[in-house]
Amino acid sequence: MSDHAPGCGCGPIDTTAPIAVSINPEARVTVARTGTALGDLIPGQWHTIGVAVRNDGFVAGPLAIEAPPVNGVDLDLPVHELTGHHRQDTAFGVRLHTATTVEVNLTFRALAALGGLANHSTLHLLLRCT
Amino acid sequence: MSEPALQPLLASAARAVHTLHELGDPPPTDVDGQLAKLERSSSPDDDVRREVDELLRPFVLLDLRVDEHGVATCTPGAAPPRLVQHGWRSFLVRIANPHRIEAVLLALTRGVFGLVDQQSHAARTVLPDALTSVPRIRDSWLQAKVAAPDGLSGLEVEYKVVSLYSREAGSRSGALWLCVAEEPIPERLSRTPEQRAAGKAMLEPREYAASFQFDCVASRDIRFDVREPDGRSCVAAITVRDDQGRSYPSTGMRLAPDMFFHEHVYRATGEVIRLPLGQFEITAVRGPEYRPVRVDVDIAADTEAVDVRLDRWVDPAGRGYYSGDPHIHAGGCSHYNVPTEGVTPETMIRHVRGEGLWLGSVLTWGPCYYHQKQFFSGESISPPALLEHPDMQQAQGMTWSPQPTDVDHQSMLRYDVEVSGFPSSHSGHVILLGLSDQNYPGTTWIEDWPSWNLPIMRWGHSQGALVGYAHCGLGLSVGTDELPNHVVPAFQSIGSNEIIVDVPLGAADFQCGAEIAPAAELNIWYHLLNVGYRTLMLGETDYPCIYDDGPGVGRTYVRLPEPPQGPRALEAWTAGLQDGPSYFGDGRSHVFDFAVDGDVGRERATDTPGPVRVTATVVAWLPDGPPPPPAQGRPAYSAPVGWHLERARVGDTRTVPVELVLNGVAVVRWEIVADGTEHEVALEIGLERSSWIALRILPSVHTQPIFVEIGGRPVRASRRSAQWLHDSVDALWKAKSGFIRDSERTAAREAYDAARAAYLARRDECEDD
Repeated sequence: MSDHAPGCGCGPIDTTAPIAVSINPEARVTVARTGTALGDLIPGQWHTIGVAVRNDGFVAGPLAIEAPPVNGVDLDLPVHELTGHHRQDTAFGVRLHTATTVEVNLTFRALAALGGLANHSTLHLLLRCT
Repeated sequence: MSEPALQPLLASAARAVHTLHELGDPPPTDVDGQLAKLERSSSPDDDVRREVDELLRPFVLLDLRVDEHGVATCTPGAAPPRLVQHGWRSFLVRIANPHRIEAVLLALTRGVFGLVDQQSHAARTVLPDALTSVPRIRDSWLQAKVAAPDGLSGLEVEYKVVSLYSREAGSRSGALWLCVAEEPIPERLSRTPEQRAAGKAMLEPREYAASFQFDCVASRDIRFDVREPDGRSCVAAITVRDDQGRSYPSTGMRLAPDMFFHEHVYRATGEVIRLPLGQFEITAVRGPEYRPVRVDVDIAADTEAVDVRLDRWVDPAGRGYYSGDPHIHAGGCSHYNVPTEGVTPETMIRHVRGEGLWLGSVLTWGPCYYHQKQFFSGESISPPALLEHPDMQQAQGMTWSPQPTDVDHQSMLRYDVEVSGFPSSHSGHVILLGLSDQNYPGTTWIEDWPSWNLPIMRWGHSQGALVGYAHCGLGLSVGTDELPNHVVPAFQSIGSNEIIVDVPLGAADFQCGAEIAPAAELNIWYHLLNVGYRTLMLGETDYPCIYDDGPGVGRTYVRLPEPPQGPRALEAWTAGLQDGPSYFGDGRSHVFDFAVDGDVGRERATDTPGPVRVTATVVAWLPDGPPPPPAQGRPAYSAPVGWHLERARVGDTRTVPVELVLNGVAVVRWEIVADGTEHEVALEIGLERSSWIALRILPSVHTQPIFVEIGGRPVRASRRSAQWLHDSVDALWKAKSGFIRDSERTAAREAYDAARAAYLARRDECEDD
């Protein structure tokens, strides 16, 4: 097995997932929306939202997603296990109770990497349910 | 158009107002509080939407409407278009997006399109061609920048922030247009999203920009006569805020040597900051050896200069202790959000001088590597703090001239390497201090370097370099603050990993920390010391990656017979580090002349067990009371975290605990008042066997150990430490071996096995559990 990070994690992540997480060589975590649209969600149904992870820092251990509660929104935020490999994919689940539009704030933390220091990154994600 | 949902509308409004605060341009009224009230309101949604609109309208400079093709049309909002000459002002933008388009919002101002790196917040602009760029910037008096986060979410109405720069004073007419740049799937390489957005707007003969008659308040250069207490000129960190809390120069956009991720700027005696008329609060400090000095000034029409006399509370160099930070970057994480080349030695030396550091090791690493490596010379340097690309600076209105100071020569830079972003980085980031050759033999690109660290450590040693590991505690947290503890970590990150293989093979000299929790950092060090290895520990910052504040957040003090100066300054400092008195920490507490039986040497020998006399001078300074907690919504790391004397404060008192450490265990504890008064330490402890002794105030300062060997027997203080190290080698192999190239794995396995055998041998030699 060999999986070596390049010297510079430049440029976009090649993915069709709507969300991309990058971990730089110093283990800083950054999250961003990609160009992939989320589309409309259906009330009462669980939807899976993909997350592409590019890990230039060989960070292993849990990648957790935290979100403050929002009325009418259920989130299934499993802890993803980083292996230290350069590219991994993960996902989380979302369900809206009714036809509405809400914003959820998702914070991605590589918890075992930095002990909570300098590794947080938050995405403001608009969810629309029709 | 359907109305926006209330919850995301309020979130967008609160975020935009928060961004105004972040940019040092807060609204003058309690807008935050009124928004919070609206979030709790039980009024009908339409009423709340109207109240949000009325509340924010006075601060909205631009109303922007996005059509079904993603083309934006801007009209003037209600905010008075008042700018400041040679400064930045930030305003709200209200975006009506009835077609729910998701895109990035960009500011395009005539003359500078495609020139300023709009997305990165980079401390230095991208300069693809300075020769053609400078005239275009110089001819454009108005510049605009959309603050992050700059993405349109697709909500029907949301708020963003735009920052505007004016080069001129007086009444000026100008136009603003923000474009909506959609990212296509798949990505198109031929044209950028912003080029396509601009192209769309060219297809119709109508006006998309909002026209303004700007009122630009005049500013002028105010000279800062900042001086040491004895009157010598120097560089200091200066923070300037007006009576609304706005920062100068604005953090909305700064050019090196001023960093957007600082609120302060570094200025030498006689250098200037451009300020308009008004009341200002000015704070000056020069690292932790100084108390911050605050001066309130009224900049009037006849004001030319501001006098600031620094307040030094401790002078370690006066006692022969010289500070160094072994881990700072000129192309660090915050410099390169979108990778650029980073900044120059002339900028780095200004930052090092401004923090009162004697030595700063500027480490070239993966990002920006091929640009930054040109500054490596194999020697310590102390360049003048010149401005980068002065033609660009002047075009942007930064016309001041750098000034030399009386103490410039005291601060030195040494360019070296951090093996980060290299094939072996999974095994911990190696710092190489004092290289004469920065290119690993037989390699062209950094991807060619070894995929484990031992060969690199040995190559560094072959040049006489001191080699060790950066940010030692990363990935070594095991869920306890107990120190020492015997929980084997999973080695999940980039801290002191392969050090446990390299040390018994004689290939690693030190680890660096004083950045995060002491238990994560010190545990591995204590275990190595407990089985007799002479591993050093240093304080570092990893600026600006782990800490953005400045160089010297974590620092190391080394006692030397004379100041480290000249091309071999680093070598003199590291030689003292290896053999003489030394301590590391946050610079807010200090331990001078730590000695056993009156000897400050790091190695002692006695014939028989018995008492030894420990002496030192300890000094610390804290303000009278603890600081207020961080404001709501501020990140936790804006408050003291990691190593900071404030976290050692006993309750609300001004006392902090000092501990004597014997073989990793704190055996004596007492308290001192942290008022800057020197406290003499003198106590006796009994030694039953060969041991190591240190003093500490956690999390603020820790000395290097003094080893006392009794009856010629080596230090073998803990059987459990030896076992922990042995078991950790197994855990490390499990975590890291998969990243080692097939061609190198056999040699790595042999080295790991040799380390395991060394620990087992020492375990069997230990006299105590």
